[in-house]
Amino acid sequence: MNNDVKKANTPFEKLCLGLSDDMDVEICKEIAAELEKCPDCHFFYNSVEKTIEMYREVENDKNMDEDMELRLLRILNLEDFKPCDDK
Amino acid sequence: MKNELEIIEKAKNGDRKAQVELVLKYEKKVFNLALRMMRDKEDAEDVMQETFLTALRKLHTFEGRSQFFTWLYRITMNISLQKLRDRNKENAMVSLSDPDIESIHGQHLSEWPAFSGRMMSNNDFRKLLDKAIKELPAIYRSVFILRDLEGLSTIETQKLLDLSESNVKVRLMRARFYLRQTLQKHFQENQFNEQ
Repeated sequence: MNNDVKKANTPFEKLCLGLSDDMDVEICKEIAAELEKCPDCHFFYNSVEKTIEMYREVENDKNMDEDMELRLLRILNLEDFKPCDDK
Repeated sequence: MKNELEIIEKAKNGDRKAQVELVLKYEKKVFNLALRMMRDKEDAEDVMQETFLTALRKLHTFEGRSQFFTWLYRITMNISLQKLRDRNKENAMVSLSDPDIESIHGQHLSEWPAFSGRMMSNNDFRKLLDKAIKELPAIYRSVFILRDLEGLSTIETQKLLDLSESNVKVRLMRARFYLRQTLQKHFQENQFNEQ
């Protein structure tokens, strides 16, 4: 994510910088100014941002099953070297 | 906390405890990346196991010029992409073209609902999100996952996937727009009832 997001002054600038990690702040300001004039564009880009947020939300709550680690270490012939205080 | 390069050096020299340390440190990250690519727990476990088998076998080739996790991610992505190709899972996938930006005008777009916990815990909605990302051809899915879900930069993604910068950007844009379009259809059909 673009570190310049903090420099954004308006929601549109934040949106532009948030969607690209290498977009120049000044270019984003120009894009933001255009978006201000175009409600459809605003809705569109906002929906792209929400799409990404939704995926981040659902994709972040998946975990390994407990026995997967055991199987992994067994396949790697490392099960005897696991630290005892790990669990 | 021990320096990671020190641990890697020990692991290279056959120190089994150091090897375990690396595996335990990165197993969850590798599994999550594999799961995002493969969309199936068993397949993701296979990829994770192959990734670490390969990584430990090739550890002597890691020179520390990139971060260790980037090197590991590259192996994970290569194995995932190869498995997806082998299993011919691309067959049912959509073909993506450049989005028609001009057509945004006149679509009578409206603000999407803010996503709520209720909507995100709705099983049907989660299945829809999963189905849409599964339909994405692997070349687009990989870029979307690395850039938008794993938070890698364009440069990191292009290095990891051996793509040009413009290729990363185009694929990312197409993937985002395809996923967005799927959700747009859903919200239109359900008139934002998920809120």
